[in-house]
Amino acid sequence: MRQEVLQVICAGLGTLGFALFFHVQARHLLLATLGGALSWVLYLAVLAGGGNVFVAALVSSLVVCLWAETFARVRKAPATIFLIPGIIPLLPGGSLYYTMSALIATDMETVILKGKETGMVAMGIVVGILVASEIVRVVLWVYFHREKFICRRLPPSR
Amino acid sequence: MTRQEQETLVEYTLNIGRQMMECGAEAWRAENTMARIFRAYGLEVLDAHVMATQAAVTVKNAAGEHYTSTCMILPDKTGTDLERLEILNAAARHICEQPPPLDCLPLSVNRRAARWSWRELLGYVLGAGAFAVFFGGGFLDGLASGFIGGLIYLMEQVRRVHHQNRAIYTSVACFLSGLLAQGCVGLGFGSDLARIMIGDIMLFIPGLVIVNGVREFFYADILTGVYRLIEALLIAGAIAAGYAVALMLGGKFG
Repeated sequence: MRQEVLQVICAGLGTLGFALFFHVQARHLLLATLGGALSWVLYLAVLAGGGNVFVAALVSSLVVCLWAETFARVRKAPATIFLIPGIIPLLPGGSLYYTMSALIATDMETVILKGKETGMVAMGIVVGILVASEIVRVVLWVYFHREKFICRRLPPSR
Repeated sequence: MTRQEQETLVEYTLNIGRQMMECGAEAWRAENTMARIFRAYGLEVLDAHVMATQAAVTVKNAAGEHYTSTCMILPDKTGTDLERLEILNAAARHICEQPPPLDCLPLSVNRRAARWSWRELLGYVLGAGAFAVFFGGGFLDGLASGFIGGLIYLMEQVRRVHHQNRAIYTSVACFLSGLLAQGCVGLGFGSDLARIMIGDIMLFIPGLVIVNGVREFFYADILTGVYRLIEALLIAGAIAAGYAVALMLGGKFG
C-alpha cells in the first residue's frame, strides 16, 4: 500500500512537471495535476481488481478524457490542456525501456513480453480516448437538440 | 470591406490557424477557429482546410469576389505550448464576440521567440525526477534523473535555436543522456541505472503527438492523424536507438 501511495504522489509530481513544461497556465495547474494522479489511481485500482494492462489503460484514459472535456467547458479552455498532462503517467516509458534493453541482451522472450505490454497500453489509451470522445459527442448532440425531445408546453405565440 | 482589408484579415486568420497547429491544437480546432473569425466579419467561408503541414482558406465577400490563401506549417517548429494555445483560443473568442476594426486586431497572437525559462527547466527536472521514483527508483536515483533532465533542457534549447529535425535530435539527445546516466551511476550518484534512464525517457515520449493523432482520426482528419502517428513511431524508434547505442558503448567500456 505504501508503494502505491508513493506512486500516486510521484505521478502527481511528474504530471506537474510536464504541465510546467507544456506551459499550462498557473490557474489550470491544480486541475491538470489532479488529472494525472486520478489516472494512476484508476490504473492501479483496475489492476488490483483483476484487469490486465489494456483494460486498466482504457478505463483510466477514458475517465481522464471525460474529466478533461468537463473542465474544458467549466473553465472555457481547450480540453487538450487537461487531457495531455492527465495521460502522461499512463505512457509506457518503463516497458519501452525494458523492451529495448532486452533487445540489446537478445533476450527475445522478454522483448515479446514487454513489447506486447507497450503496445497494449498504447492501444488501451487510444481506445479509451476514442470511447470518451464518442460519449462527449453524443451528450453534446443531445444537449444542442434537446428541444426535439421535450414536448412543447407553451402555446405558440401570436 | 476593400480588397486590401480582406487580404489583411485572411493573412491574420491564417496566422492564427498556423500558430494553433504549432502549439499543439488539432486540425479541426484550427479549421473551426478560422471559419468562425471569417463569419464574424461577414465573409462566406467556401473552404477552410488544415493539415499537419499546410493550412488553406477560400472566402467569398458580399460582392462575390473570391480570395484564396495558403500557408505552410513547419513541422520542426511545432512544440507543445498549451498557454499559447489558450491565448490564441481566447483571442479568437474575443474577435468572434465583437469583431474589432481591422487595424485593432489583437496582437497578442504573435509568437514570441523561444527563450530561456526557469519554469520549463523546473518542469524538466521535476518530471524526470518524479518519474524515476514513480517507476521504482530510490530518492537518489530521482535526483540523478532530475539532474540529467535539467541537462536535457539545455539540449532542447540548442534544438530550438537550430531548428533541428526532431527525430535526429531525439536520438542524439537520448544517446547523450544515456551516457550521462551511466556516468552518474559510475560516480555513485544514484544506483539504479534502469530507473534513472526511464525517468529521462518519459521526457522524450511524444505523448501529445500520440493523443492528438488519435483525436485527428476521430474527427476524420485521417491524413493528419497518420502523419502524427508516424511522427510518434519515428520518435519512439529514435529514443530506443539513442539509449541502445549508449548502453552498448557503456557495456563495452564501462
